Amino acid sequence: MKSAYILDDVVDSQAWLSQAVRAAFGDIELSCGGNLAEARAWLTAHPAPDIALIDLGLPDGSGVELIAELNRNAPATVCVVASIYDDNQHLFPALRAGAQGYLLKDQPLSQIIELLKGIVDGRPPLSPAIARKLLGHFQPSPQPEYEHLTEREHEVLRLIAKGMTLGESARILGITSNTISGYVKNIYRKLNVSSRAEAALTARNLGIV
Amino acid sequence: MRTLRPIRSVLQNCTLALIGLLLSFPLMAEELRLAEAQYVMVASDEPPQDDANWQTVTLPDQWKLSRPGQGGDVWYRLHFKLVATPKDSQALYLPRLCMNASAYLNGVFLGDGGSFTDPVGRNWNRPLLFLAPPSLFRTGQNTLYVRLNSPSFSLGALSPIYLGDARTLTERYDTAFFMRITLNQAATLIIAAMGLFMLALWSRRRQDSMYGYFGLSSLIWSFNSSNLFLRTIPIPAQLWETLINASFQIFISLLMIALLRFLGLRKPLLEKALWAILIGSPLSLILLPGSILISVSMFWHLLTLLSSLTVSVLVLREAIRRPHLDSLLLVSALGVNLMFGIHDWLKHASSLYGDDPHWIHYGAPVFFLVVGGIMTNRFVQALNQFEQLNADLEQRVQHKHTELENQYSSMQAMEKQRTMLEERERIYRDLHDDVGAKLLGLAISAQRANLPKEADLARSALQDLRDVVSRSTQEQTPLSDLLADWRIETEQRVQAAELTLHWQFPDYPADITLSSQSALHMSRIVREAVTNVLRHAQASQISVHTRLEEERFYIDIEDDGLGFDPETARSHRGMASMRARATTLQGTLDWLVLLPHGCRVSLCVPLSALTTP
Repeated sequence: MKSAYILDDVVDSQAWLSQAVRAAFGDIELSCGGNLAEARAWLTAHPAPDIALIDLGLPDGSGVELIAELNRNAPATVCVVASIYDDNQHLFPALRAGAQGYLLKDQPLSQIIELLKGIVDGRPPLSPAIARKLLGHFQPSPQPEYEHLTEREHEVLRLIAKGMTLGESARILGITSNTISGYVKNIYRKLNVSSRAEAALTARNLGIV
Repeated sequence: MRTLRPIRSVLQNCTLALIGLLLSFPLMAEELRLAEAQYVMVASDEPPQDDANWQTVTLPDQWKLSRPGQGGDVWYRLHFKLVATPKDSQALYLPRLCMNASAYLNGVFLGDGGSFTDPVGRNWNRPLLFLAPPSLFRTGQNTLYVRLNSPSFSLGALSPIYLGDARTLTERYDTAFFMRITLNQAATLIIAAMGLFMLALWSRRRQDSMYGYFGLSSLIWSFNSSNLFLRTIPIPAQLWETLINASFQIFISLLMIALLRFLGLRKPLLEKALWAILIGSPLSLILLPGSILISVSMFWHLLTLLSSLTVSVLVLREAIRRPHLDSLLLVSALGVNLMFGIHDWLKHASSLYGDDPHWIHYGAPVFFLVVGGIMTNRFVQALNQFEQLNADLEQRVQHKHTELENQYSSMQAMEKQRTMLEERERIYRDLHDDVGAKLLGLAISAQRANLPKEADLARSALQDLRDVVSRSTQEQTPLSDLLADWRIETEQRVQAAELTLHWQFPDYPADITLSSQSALHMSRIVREAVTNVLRHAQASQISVHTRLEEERFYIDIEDDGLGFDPETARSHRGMASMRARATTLQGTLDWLVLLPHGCRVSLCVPLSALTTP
């Protein structure tokens, strides 16, 4: 991790997140923005960052837009939602747009640092609400464009939806926490892939493509 | 048979008594029928002298036979002898005459039937009665002069004359007057009124031409029929008679056209023939010389009879094809009138002479009433149908109106709901932007200042806010989902405070769902309970047990901390708020100090209160 970008309209949170990023990744090139326009301007002038922390409710729009843009133009950038909301109405669109994790800004610093490290290492967080939403999203469907979840991935989602932690789920399934992190990462990837497939399908149906 | 004999004898006696009564009647009347007369044809306003050229004649005297083609004044002289002069008022009764008459008894003028100059007073269908005071009569020879005037184109005639008691003859005169004049006047008025009514109908509904034809026909018949009772006419008599004659063809033809149209029988040829009669008859009668007028009118009458016969056959066929009370009535009325018409025509042709020369005048009103009744009935039926349709339509409109109103009110409700949601969304956004940012700031500051309890407080306040925003937008939350959320939240908090969490986690059926409000209340109670442990108890572990028993949901939150003093607990604001929430859910909330150390919060809520919104 060499460069990071923080998009948050509250100066206090910017500072807080900066502190967490520095604590997690040590010496890192760090820039901050307060709204979408600033972020876009920064992104055209600079190479894409390795990691981007993006707040959702911004004065000039939703952070989801920037996540989608980054996912398209700079797929290597790890996008993380930094919000004070974690319910699926807020987070799910961001995950579908390609966010690889999210953190609640009010969490203790140590937890935020852990989360950031985990996300970068391929251990994205997963709340029961999001897991439930994911289960619904990956309902068996006849559309071949969808990439379906494996049985194991389903099981992981079901356990987390019930309120189990990743560690507990790993124990129940008799696998290591690294393996379960792999499943979760896979689920995130498939979500993004399926949402892209969905978008392509919709575009075709609308006659755009 | 034996038993019947007395009854028969009684009947015989009665019959004899009745005959006796009838025989005695003429004796009492003392009435004279004068039929033997002398006449002289002379234009004079006074009775001619005795030396005039008197010739004998027996009444009735029909000029058509005795002096064909002649017209003017004929004076009749009638002698009669009396044994004694009468005591009571006497009357002279002329049952039939044509056209006008006046009477003189023993040189004294008794009366007349109107003007003797053109247009002559019309009495051809009118009885005449002249009263004669007893003083005019003489014992022995009496002489009566009757002056009769008739134009050459009229059928001059005089019937035998009756002389007798005024009361008796007045009665007879009144009866005849009623039959020939009053009845016809009434019929004429009724049919004229009906004609006007039909014309009014037609003027509003031009497409129903039958009403127009029928109305016109009724009015023309009324004009024709007025000839029966009008004594004084406003135009010369010859023109009047021509018009009256022609009007027969006109009203009958119009009536036949109306009938054909009414029955929906399209016979263009027949209609053309009827139109030809209806135009040709008056034209020819007005244009042709008076001498052949009677023959010409007879011809037209015959043509009209034939056309009516054709229509009758068509109506009969229609009645057989579609038997209906209306068509049967029509056929009978038509048939009767046709026979009357034939009778009248034959009478004209062969100079039959009777007391009632024109039967058609009695048949026609009945026919008009029948047709008018049927037509009105048909019209009223159509009107009723229309009204029914209208009522149906109105009902449907009303129905649609109600439907629209319902739709409108449901739309309004939806609009209201939408506005409410928008408003809620706006409030949430504000909460997010302002309160959320402030709480976040508080949490961050507390952490920086290394105040973990204050940081947890700020975080749980933020969690409350999250709950309000996310739960309120959800209609229903499954109990198992709610428990999962609580667990993760509690787990994170307990971990941050470096405590251990024991969580009893049974599987609940997925169909137990909580309303958003109860989910919110429950979450707040659990969060507050955990907050209390983390802030005050100095515990090392927390256990949470949930169970479902007899339609009640129980949750116990237990710690191994210091316990608490129930007295101070009572005044604790957080606890009061927890209790209030439990009460709202119709549940109970209890604190129990555990020995040797610790505390248990027990919440019990009926499931029904959780599930109803």
